[in-house]
Amino acid sequence: MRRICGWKAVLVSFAAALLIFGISGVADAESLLDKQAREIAAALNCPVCGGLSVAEATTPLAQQMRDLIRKKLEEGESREVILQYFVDRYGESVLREPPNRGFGQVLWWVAAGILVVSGGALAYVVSGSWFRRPAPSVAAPAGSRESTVQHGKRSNEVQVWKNQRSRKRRK
Amino acid sequence: MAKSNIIVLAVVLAIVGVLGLEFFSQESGGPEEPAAVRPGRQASQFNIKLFSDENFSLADQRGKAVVLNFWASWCPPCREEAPALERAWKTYQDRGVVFVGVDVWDNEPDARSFLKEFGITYPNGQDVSGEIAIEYGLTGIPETWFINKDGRMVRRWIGPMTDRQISAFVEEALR
Repeated sequence: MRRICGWKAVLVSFAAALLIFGISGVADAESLLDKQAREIAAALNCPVCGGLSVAEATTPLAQQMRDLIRKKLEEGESREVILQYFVDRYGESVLREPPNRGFGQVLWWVAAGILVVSGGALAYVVSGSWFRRPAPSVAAPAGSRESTVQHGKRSNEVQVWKNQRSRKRRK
Repeated sequence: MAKSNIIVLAVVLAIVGVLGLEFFSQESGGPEEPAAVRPGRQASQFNIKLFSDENFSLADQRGKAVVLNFWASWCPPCREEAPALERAWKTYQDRGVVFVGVDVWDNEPDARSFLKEFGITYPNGQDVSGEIAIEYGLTGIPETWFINKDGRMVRRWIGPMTDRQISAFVEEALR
């Protein structure tokens, strides 16, 4: 008799332990869902509340959005799917963080890079040709190399002209 | 590479860059309607319990044009357009047009008083959970959707409507 009571006690305590673990498990799952719901609500702008998040706002729409987030989580939808659901209905402005556009963002940066590189190349080529442009034709200062050469050419021309004139006189 | 070739290449690249930036800026930030509520899309299905205790299902209205009006009793512009909606309903109910009112962010006694005050006879119900309002991306009231016989959303109108506007939009949905 005593032995049967002992077994009963063990069974009862085992059942009680299972019940406690089960209840705490459900409570954990609920608190996890609540936490996820709060996080998603905090990532969304309330569309009618001027800058408040769905988590902060107290309007009926914000409350209904919170309830819907919770319902969708219970149905097993992921955070991404739920956020996209609201984006599809309220636009990207419903997200508090600007979205990462992935491939489109990469292409944007490639286009910007092409613009910068080509602008730089153009500036380099144009400035290079400006630097090498010949100086305007102003008289070179006396004593410089250019002045000496021109002077030499001119004196040769004068000499040739003088020789021609003296030949004509002799004739 | 010759200097002239470099200049031509740089100019071509600059044009490609400017066009690319323009293209991706437009793609990312246009004033387009959000995807699920863009006119031309299939209207989202919904069921609503009417104040008459009957059920209304959008899916059951295939082959008919539907005027879906969101309203609340406390909203002055909703009071402004209520008589025009009732007149339009009386005009078009025999032409295969269904009107349905969805009361949002409201309480039932006030909503019933509103319907009585304006003698509204077309089906009306309360969106208690707000799921229909959210499904249609509602941000204010009144707001009206015109859905054609194929179940496509042809027009979204935010704000009160006049008799002429309602007629024009219903005719558009009937086309």
